[in-house]
Amino acid sequence: MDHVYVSKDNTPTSVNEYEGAPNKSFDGSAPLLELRNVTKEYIDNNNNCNKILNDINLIINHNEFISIVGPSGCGKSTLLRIMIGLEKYTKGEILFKGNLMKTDGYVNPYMAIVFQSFGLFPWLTVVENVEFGLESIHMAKIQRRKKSLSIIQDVGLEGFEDAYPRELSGGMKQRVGIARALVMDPEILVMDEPFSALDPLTAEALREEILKVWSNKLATPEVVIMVTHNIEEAVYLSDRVIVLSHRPGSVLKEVDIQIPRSREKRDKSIYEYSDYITTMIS
Amino acid sequence: MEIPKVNYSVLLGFIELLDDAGSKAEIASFASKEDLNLDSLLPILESGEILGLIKVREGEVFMTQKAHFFIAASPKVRKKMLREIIVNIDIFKRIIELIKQKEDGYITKDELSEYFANHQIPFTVDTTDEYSNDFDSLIEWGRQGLVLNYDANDERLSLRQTV
Repeated sequence: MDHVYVSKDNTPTSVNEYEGAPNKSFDGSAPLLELRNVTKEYIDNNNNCNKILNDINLIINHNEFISIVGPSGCGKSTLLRIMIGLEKYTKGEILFKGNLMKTDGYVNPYMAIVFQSFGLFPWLTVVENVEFGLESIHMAKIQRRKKSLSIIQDVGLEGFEDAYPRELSGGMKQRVGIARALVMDPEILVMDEPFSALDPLTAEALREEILKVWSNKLATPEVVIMVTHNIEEAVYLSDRVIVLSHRPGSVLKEVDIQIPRSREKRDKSIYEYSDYITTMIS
Repeated sequence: MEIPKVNYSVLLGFIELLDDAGSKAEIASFASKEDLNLDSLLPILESGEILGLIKVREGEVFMTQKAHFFIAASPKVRKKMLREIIVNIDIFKRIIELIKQKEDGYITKDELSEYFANHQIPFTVDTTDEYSNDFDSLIEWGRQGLVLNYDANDERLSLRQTV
């Protein structure tokens, strides 16, 4: 079986067609991301095989905001890390625009992640944290700085360019995390519980800002995939909520949220969808 | 002297919730519904009033017209609005003048502290709670409004641009 791999520099690096899946690279007709029977197992210290994810099949289309919810420990964060390539999986396939992704620690260059715990370098200023990721791609220093400052402006961080993370509130720290992801021009932005380390009011503010970034196309991601344990948050923000089962996590249901945007948080439908999903999980 | 004591994201989140609630709310029931205790609520109301984004009257809290514009605005316009608000708050006016009088274009944290002490104005610089001291709040809002720069290594405040 031959594989097609993608790199950010150009089109697929190895153009051997993957058996059974025509190479639809970058023509827009293939789903943006596709998971086929993705399973994750590990062997523990007692030599027992533990299954974390079981046969996950997902199709992520263009221009979607997707949330993944499920009981605690069901593997939703693991699934997110597998999608981006930060974690290996045991079986299955992941295709990006129809092209099979490598499985050996290859991080998808078209995706960027926002962590729950911000993951900032404390010794770097805001602008240095944001432009850090750009150092891995060929870009002149002056361009890196220009691009970083532009994203900093988009996420409301202007004025804080030279501040260190220790000087920032949780909300401003997470803005840096978001800016650092957006500066990479990701086609898919993945967020792992991005608001759960924040106080409720700050989380409220940042939810709205993420929606603005995504819906106003202030920045590039055409798809956002978010893991959250907050069902109402998932319903309010998403076009589709993927509900995982108890461990080993498998897809229990994909719920299309058919509430027109812009949405009201107190919309009765939000509560109805939330109740429906909560009942399913519990 | 008045300084907004809560950080930007907290105040913004409060205004977003108030907007969802129809731009105004009865304070006690709103606090109860949003699970906000008095200790966290009072500084929010006070900060919002200092910035002219909310008004409190007879147990009710309202969004001002400015707050409506603010939450609908782009990040760039928000900064512009904040700047106009911040430069007109008394404590920032004083600091701007103070820095302008300095030949080297900056004032240190110690000098600022001394200035407030000499003028018998209460001004706290050292507490461990996040944004609970006046200095941190001053820096937070000075930066938010693109009015002040602060170099944490040298503990120097300067003006971001001609104010």
